[in-house]
Amino acid sequence: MIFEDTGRFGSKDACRTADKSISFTDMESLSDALAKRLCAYAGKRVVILGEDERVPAVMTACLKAGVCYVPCGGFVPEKRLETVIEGAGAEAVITTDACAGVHSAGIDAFTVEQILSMPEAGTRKTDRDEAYAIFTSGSTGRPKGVVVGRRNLENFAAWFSDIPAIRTVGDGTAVCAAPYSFDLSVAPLVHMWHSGGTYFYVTRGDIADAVRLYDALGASEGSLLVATPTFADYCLCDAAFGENMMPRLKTVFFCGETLRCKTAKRLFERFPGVRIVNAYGPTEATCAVCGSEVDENCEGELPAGDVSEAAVDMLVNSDGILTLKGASVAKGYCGGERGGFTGDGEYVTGDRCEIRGGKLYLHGRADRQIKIRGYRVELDEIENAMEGLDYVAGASVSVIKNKEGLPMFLCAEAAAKNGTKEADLKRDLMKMLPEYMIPKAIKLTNAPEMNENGKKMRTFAESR
Amino acid sequence: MLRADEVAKIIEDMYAGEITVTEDTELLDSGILDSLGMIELLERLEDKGYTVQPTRAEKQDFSDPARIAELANRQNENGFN
Repeated sequence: MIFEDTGRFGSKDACRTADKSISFTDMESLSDALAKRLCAYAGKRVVILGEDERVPAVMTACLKAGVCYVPCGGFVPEKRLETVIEGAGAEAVITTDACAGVHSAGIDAFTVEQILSMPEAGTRKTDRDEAYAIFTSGSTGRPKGVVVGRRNLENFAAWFSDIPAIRTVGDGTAVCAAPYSFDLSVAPLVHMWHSGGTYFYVTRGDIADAVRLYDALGASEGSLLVATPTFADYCLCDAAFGENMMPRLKTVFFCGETLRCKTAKRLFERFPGVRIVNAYGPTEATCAVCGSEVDENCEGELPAGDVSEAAVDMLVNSDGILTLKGASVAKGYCGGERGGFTGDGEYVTGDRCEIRGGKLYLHGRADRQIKIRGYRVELDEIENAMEGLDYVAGASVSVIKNKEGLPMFLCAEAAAKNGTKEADLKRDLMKMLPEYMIPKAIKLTNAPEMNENGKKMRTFAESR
Repeated sequence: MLRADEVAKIIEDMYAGEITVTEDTELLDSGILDSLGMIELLERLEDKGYTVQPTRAEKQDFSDPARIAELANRQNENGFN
């Protein structure tokens, strides 16, 4: 298993943030010590809250102990955390750093130190093949947890590490700005476990402040940047982002949303000789399943993968919907909901696509799912959250797109009780939804008639 | 010279007119200018001939259209850029 014996990489850093680090030797001993205690939760699911440099060690400990971890990142609205805990059937929460919120879901909650002070639980094993569960937006109105098995993770690791542009990075540092709760972070984790490359984690605080962000990138010594195209666009805003800031950068691995040719070209200008991989894959098939190296002279639509080099088989049905089949296809959803999983190792993605000259081209969705900054957003989930408020009768969310037709902002209309204020509605949504799912502007109309339950007019949303 | 009302108009256009922005509309705490908003705004300012470098600015320089206009003018003054 890739997460075992990483102590062989010695005293070099396993994980770093702008101001802290942990070596492979220390990660190995910390994860061993934690695993001996976490065995008490073998075969169960445990939420990890936090975004410090010890999170990968806690994940490693869970994998060693046979515990399925549910990474939630550094900040998650309390109600959403409760939904995730409930949806995952999680039996404990592990907090790594002070910035992570305290929760009150009535299950075991520990800091790393508290676990270390517990007695060892032996070496209890489990047959359950669950590595982690990552929650993503769900069209039913609740986030859904994708359960990824160890075999899925191994298959992804084998595929990812063999990509020529990744091999060239060797054991160089991988920089990633995606939170641990977003499965793009699985790529730098795998790079760390498999190749001994340092995982440089860019925190939310770094991203929020441009100066701190560029300082962090400059200090990262990154050879590999794992990012969403939006993150690269954000970095490219400043002329300082270039080879002087990151002189060791060899490869950029993109996944999560459509990569514009414009972004790739600007990167080639700023980092002469850099290699860019445009990858694709849903959380349900473990981070990414295919990728194409971008040509310096690219024009128009970029391919999102070489089909023959993919981690899975790719099948396109008569409606142009992509189905994935193979060892990267995850085990299913936490609650057992079927969704696109067919039950025999296939996952119907809902992505419209075309395969041309052995390359995959994506053409949007067959449903109302969109990508905002690489995050998957089901518009239905936002509408359901709004309609779940007792003073909202109906809601409809729309997407404002940029020149290239890519989603940029969410706006909404809500039929609400007389006197409802936009700011109050937003504040209530913030308790339930992550920040990227909150509509920027909500137009309020008076609910024509609210029945006793306040609920009535689904017709409003349907009249879009 | 870039005017504050021009910046306000750019941001309104970004939102396809779904929001109203004036010269002193608060843009950061309200979430109007998140990272995607910032990218789009800087690209649109560049289209108008104003290059703004976030590393040479304070976060608060982006707090409303008037301050953004000031920043863009400051960073694009001849001889100082």
